[in-house]
Amino acid sequence: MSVQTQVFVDNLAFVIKRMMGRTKADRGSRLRYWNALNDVGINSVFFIVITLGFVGTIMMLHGGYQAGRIIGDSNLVGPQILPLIIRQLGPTLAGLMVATRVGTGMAARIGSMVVTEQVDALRLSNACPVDYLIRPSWNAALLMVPILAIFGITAAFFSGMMTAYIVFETAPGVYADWSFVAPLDAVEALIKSLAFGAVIPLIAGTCGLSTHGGSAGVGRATTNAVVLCSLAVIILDFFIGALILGLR
Amino acid sequence: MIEFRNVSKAFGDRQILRGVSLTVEEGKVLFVIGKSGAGKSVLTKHVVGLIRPDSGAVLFDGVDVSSWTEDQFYPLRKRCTMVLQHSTLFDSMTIVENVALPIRKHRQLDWNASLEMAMSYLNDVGMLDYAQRMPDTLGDGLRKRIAIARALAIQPQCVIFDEPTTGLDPQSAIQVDGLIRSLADRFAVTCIVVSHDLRSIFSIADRVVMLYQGHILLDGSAEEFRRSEHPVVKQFMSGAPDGPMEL
Repeated sequence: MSVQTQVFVDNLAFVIKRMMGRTKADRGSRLRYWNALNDVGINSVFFIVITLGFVGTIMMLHGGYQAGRIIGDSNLVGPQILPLIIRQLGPTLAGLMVATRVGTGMAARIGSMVVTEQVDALRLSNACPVDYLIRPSWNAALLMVPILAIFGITAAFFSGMMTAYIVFETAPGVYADWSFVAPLDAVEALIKSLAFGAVIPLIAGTCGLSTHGGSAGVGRATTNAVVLCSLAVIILDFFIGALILGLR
Repeated sequence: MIEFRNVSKAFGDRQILRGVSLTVEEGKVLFVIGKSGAGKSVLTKHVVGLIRPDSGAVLFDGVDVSSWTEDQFYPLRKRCTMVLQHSTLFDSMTIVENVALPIRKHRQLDWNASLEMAMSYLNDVGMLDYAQRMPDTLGDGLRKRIAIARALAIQPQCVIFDEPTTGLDPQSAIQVDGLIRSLADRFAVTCIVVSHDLRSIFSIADRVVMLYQGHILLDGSAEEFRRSEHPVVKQFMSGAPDGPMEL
């Protein structure tokens, strides 16, 4: 194991251990939590709605075209893609978007604080960097990623419905056939969103805390954050999905 | 009392400290000098747990702290703090919030009480007018004064100053020197100063330690340092580009 990998693993273990403890809320921590809610949630809504909106359109467009070619009826596509949007695309793409937008931002911010010794100054001030820099984003992501996933699912649903109506003349009532959607799909979406919200700040924050080597190091930390967070989202998506498929 | 026992530290394959042993007396001003990259900051950061030794021990009041956890270090950092090299203010906070943070965290005060106390410390260093400004709107000299105020706000027994006069105008540098000297003389605060500034060394140091190639090359008073015949010390003093000192 390289020195850098060892540093990352040690830091991740420290971050996880620290996150399992409790901290006393004060005015400063509430302010940081509010800022993190804005950063993770409100500032990501537009980005995720647009992305998932286009994904819903693309899926309906290509799905409808293929269904038309193979079985001659595009009307069946809506009910087929709805469960996929809810349990798969909504939470996973929301997670990937949060990893890209929030994870990189966290890693860059914390990394630049490391190289400018601001993290050392926090430690000298008796303010644990994990409580100060990672915990607010973790708390915010746990709440906001599921909400973002709901926004994303809604955007994909309506954009798919519009596409189905405009391109394939599928009636909204036919598109929105919920007979293939099970309550377990919603549970899966929630579990995945919570899992993504939990791991992204941990990994991105650890990448930031493991930064070394000036501005080039901040660049590396940012790249590592987006790669590792995206990988974590995809791997968790697979395992949670497989586990719940086993329960069906 | 702070003691280093045979402390070694490497970053990758670069050996910075090679078995440094040193005792820092209470209430005195110790200067740690040496060329850039000699390991001065690395050595002093061991005291407050910002860096851990690869081997050897660091003792604070007779207790070996070299294997302490991060949580164990927090109470120690109330007794011994550090003014970092680049002043290092938190750029997301106002000046008064910067000073209030260690007060709130170390002294367990609430938000308003810590702000009030921070204002009084800013008043002491003549920075009250800047209390609501953001750090990036201030020059290096003012930032350094605030960083010093922040360190002193927790009333430590020991302060490590990492290049406190670098980048300051001569008047501000003399003020900072005077402050360090008065901390030792009036409040018996132990001051460890990492510096290249010969004027500071000769005006306020009780003792000077020079690091070279990971070892202590010289340990003595400022006068002994001035009179040293060691060729590396003489080159450091004169600032001559050519000589035995490895750059």
